Amino acid sequence: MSALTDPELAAVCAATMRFGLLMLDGGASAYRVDEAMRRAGSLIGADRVEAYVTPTGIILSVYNGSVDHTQISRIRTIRVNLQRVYDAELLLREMHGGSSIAALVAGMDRIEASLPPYPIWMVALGCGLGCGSFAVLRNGGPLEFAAAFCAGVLTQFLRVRLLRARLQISPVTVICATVASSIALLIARAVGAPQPRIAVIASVLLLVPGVPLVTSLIDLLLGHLVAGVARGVYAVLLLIGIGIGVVVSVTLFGFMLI
Amino acid sequence: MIEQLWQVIFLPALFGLLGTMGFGILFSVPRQTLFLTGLVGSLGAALRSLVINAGASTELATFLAALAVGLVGYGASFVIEAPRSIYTIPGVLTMVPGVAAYETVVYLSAGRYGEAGVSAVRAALIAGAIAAGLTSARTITDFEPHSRRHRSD
Repeated sequence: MSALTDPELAAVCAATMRFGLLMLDGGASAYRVDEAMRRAGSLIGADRVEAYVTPTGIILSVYNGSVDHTQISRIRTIRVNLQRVYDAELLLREMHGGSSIAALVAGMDRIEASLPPYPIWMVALGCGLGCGSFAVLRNGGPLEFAAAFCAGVLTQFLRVRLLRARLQISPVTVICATVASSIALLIARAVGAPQPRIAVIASVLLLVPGVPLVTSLIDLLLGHLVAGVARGVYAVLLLIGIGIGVVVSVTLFGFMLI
Repeated sequence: MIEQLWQVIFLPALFGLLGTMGFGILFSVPRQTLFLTGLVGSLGAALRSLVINAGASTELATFLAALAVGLVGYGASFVIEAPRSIYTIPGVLTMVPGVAAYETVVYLSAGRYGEAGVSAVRAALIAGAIAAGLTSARTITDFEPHSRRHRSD
């Protein structure tokens, strides 16, 4: 590997960092982000890459010969977009030794400019389908399916709205859990569903932070303890938020379902 | 017999497929892998239902199903090359201990702490079974040497 000047190495560092942030913002595990940055950095000219990845930020050092460069970057929100992780991996696989920084940057520009894979209405339908199916898997019937489906669809629309209004994720989770379980409860009651509690349980499933929970596990298993613990605690907080929301609605509509 | 098969295997498989694909959309799983993701979840849901109906505990059934999702998800990551979590995360989401978690919060809010404790332990055990299944699958499959073209996550 040819020796790089200080500004050249700074560019390598910036591009590698951006690549890591792209993956982290898609919800990738710290382990995966670390590996990907290592590969990306060495492909575009670094001798050695050391990354310390947490769920909300990355510390990165790149080395080449006698020069080194370090950068710290934060991200503000934890989001999930597995398409991005997939695209970033694909981009990395297309690259080879001697690839230019420009190629990596162009690829990242393309990924960041791409539209989400599913339109909002489709995501809402997906949420409805997921919640409804969960009701059936827990021995619910068609009525429970319908109640959970409606609650899932409406709650997803609400969640998108609230997050766009820049509300924090925890209050959004509590509000959405309250609304989802209330809708499910009222519909289940209105149509006379035999097991209204199944509808309530299923209606909040779209709020369960599945991706942070599993990536936390991966990171803990593979030695990224700080990232694993942090994301795990974040996920558990959201789960508690769901619990609070459900209790609020069950109390509001005042009858025991057990 | 047919009706029993329908109840125990086909119904969970069908709704496992639909539910997993639904949550796959929420997590922005790439379009080209969405159906395969659904199949992985479908298998997990059917296996879970089968084991429960064979008389085993929900915890054991969940562990086996999560293990299966982890292993099959690993295989799927070679069929359409993609990070493994694209297949496994939506696949295990239909196994979350919803009923136990729900009972926990409702008992807690009613001040029935003893029963709440029992439900909480059950919820934690089932969640732990998902974690144990997935990590076991990963530990089994990561024994291969590093030389592979890409390690799937």
